[in-house]
Amino acid sequence: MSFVIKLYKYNSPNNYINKDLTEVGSYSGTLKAETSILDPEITIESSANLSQANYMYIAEFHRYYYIKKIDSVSNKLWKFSCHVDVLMTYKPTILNHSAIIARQEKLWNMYINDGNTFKVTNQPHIVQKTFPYGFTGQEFVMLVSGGV
Amino acid sequence: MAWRFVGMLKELAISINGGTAQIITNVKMPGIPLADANGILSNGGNTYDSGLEAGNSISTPDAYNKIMGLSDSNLNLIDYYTQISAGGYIELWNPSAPNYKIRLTRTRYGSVEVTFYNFSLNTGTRYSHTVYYSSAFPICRLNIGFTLNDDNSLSNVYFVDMWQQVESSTSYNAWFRVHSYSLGDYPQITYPCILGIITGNEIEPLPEGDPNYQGGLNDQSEGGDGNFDDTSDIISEPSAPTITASSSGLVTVYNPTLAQIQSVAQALVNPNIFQALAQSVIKLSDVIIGLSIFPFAITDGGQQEIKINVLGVQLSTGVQCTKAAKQFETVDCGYLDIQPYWGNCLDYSPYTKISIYLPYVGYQELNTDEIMGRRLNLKYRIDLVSGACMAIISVNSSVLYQFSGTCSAQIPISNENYDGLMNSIMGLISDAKIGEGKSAIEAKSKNKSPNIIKDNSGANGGLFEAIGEHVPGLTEAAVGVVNAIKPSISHAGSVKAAPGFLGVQTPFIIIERPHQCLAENYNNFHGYPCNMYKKLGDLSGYTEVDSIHLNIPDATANEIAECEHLLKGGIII
Repeated sequence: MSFVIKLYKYNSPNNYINKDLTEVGSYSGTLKAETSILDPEITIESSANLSQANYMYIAEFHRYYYIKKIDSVSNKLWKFSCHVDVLMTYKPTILNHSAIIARQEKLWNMYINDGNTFKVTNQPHIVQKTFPYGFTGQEFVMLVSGGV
Repeated sequence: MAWRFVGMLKELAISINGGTAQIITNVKMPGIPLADANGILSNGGNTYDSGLEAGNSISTPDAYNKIMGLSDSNLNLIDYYTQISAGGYIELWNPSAPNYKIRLTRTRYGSVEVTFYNFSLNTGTRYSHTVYYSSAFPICRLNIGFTLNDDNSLSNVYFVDMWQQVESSTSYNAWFRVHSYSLGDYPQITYPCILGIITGNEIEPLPEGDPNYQGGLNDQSEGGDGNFDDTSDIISEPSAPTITASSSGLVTVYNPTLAQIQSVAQALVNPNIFQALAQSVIKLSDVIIGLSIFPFAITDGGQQEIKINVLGVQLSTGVQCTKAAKQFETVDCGYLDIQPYWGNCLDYSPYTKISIYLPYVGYQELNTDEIMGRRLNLKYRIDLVSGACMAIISVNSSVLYQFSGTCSAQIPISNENYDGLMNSIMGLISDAKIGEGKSAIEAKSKNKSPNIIKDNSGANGGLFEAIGEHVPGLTEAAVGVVNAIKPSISHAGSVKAAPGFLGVQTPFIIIERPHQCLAENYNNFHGYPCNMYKKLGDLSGYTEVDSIHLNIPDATANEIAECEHLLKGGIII
C-alpha cells in the first residue's frame, strides 16, 4: 500500500484542538508490514535528520498522529511510533457538536460554586457600614397615675 | 382438635412410642362427608372442643371421635392415648409421606393433673409465634392446622396452643402460642390463620405479594412541573397599636423637661400633697408610676398640668408639662444597600458573613444570602410605657427580621424602684453572651462549602492512550471551608436598657468577607464554572465538557471514547 506521510513539528499544547503545524518533510512509500491505524509504527528512510519531528499526518489513514517515540534504526532509517490525535483528526465533527459545558474560559456563571474555583485566604476583611440615622438626644418620660 | 388433613388419602399411619405402625383406613370426620376423590377432607367448619384436659366431661366414644377427627370402628386415638404415659408419644402420618410425622406426646404440668399434648413434627423448621386473640369462641387447648401449597401439598403445620388465658371472662381472651413447622419458607401466622386452625375452617390464603407489583416503578416522567412562582408577598411594617395606656385614663404619659421634673419634685413636698399622701396608704410610687429616659425626641402632645391622683382626688402640682402625643413612637434609622463585592458566590454564605449592631438590642447575625444585593430598612417601634422596643428590618420593603430590646433607662423614684432597677440590670449582665455557644459554632461548621476534589486522573480503563489530557491543579480543595467553620464571636454583651445608653447609638452592619486568592489567567488553565448548553464551534479558549453525545462516523469506538475523555478533561478551542 503506497501512501504519503507528512512530518510536522507542532508548537501547541497537546489539548489544543487546532494545532499550529510546521511541516518538516513529506514522504511517500509503500507500507511493507501491517501496522495499527490508531498506533502505527512507521519506518522512514531519509538522509535528513528527522529527530525534530513530533507530529505526523498519514493521508491514506485520514488521521493525524502524535509521534511518541523516534528510533534511529540506522544511518538513514527512522522508526516512528505514533498515536492518533483524535482532536485534530475529527476537529470539524467535534466542533459541530453541542454539549453541556462544565467550565469555560470566556463564558461563565460565577455564582456556581463547584468547590474548585473560589479559593480564599484565611484572613477575612472586615467592613462596617452605618445606617444614616440612629438615636439622638435624651428625653424624660414620666408616667403619672390617672389622667385628665 | 380441628384440622384439615390433606393428602392422607383416606389412610393414616399411627404408631406408639415408635413402635410398629398401624394403618387406619377410611379416615373421616364424623358428620363430615368422606374424603373426596383427591383425598381431601374437610371438617366443614365445625368447632371442636379439645376436651383433652383432665376434668372435661368426655365420656362418649363419639365425642372422642369428634374431637380426634377420626372415626373407625376398630381404632380410636383415645385408646392410643391411654396406652402411653408421660414421656410417651403417638405418631401420625400419611403412609405415602412418611417423612412428615405428627407426634403427640403426653406430659404432666407440675403437680396439676393436667394432661398436655405436645405436638412436634419430625421435619421442617420449627418456629414460635405469639398472637393475642380475643374471641367469643371457647378456648381450646390444642389445635392443629395445616397450610397448603397451591398444589395442595403440605406447606406448614401449626400447633395452636392456647397456654395462657389473660382474662377470666366470657370473652375468652388469651395469648396464643403458635408453634409451626415449616416445610418451606417461613410461615406467616395471621389472624385468619388462627381462626381457621381453631374453628377448623379452611385457612384463608395468606396474603401474597402482587406478582404484577412494580415496586413503585413507573414509565412516566415525573416532576419538573413546579409552578416556578417565586413572587413574594410584601410583609409590611406593622402599624402601632391603637389602644394605649393613655387612652384608658388610668395613666398619663408626660414628656417633662428637667426643670419640670424638678418642679414636680418640689410640688410633692407641698404640705397639702404631702399630708394627703401621708394620711393615705398610697406611696409616691403609686402616683408617679415611672420616670425614664428615652434616647430620642418624644412627639409633642400639647401642654397639660401634672396632677397627682390621690384616692380619686386630683391634686394640682401647678406644673405645666408636655404630654406625650402617643404611647408608641417610631425611630427611622434609614436604609443601607448591601452590594456584592465580587459578583460571585464569595459574596454569599458561607464565605461572607453579615451581622448588625442594633442599639438597645445588641448584635444579631443576618443571613447573607437573604440580604446580599438588597436594601435594608431599619425602624424601631418603641413603647413609652414599658420601654420595650422592636427593631424591624425590612429587606426590599418586606419585613424579614424583628429583634426586641429595651431602650429606656429607668430612674428610680423609690427604694423599690431602685431595687427593681438593680435586679434588672444584673439580670441583663448575667444573660449577656460573652461568646457564642458551642451550638452556634457547630451550626456554622455545618454550613461550609463543599470540599470537592476533582478527580481528573485520566482513568480510562486502559482503552486508549490519552495524549493531550488536561491534568488539573494539585490544590483543588476548597479553602473556603476553613473560613466557614471559624467560630463567630459576639461583639458585645447586653446593650439593652440602661447599659444601652452608654453604647453606640447608631446602628451599623459588619461585613466579614474573605480575601479571594485567584491566580492570574486562571481561566486560561481551568476555565470558570459554566453549566451551559453550547455548540463547541461557537466557543473559544479553554473548554471543559460536562456531557456530550459524540457521533463521529469515521472514528473507531476507541477513538470516540478518547475524544470524549479529552473533551471532559478540558481542551482549548
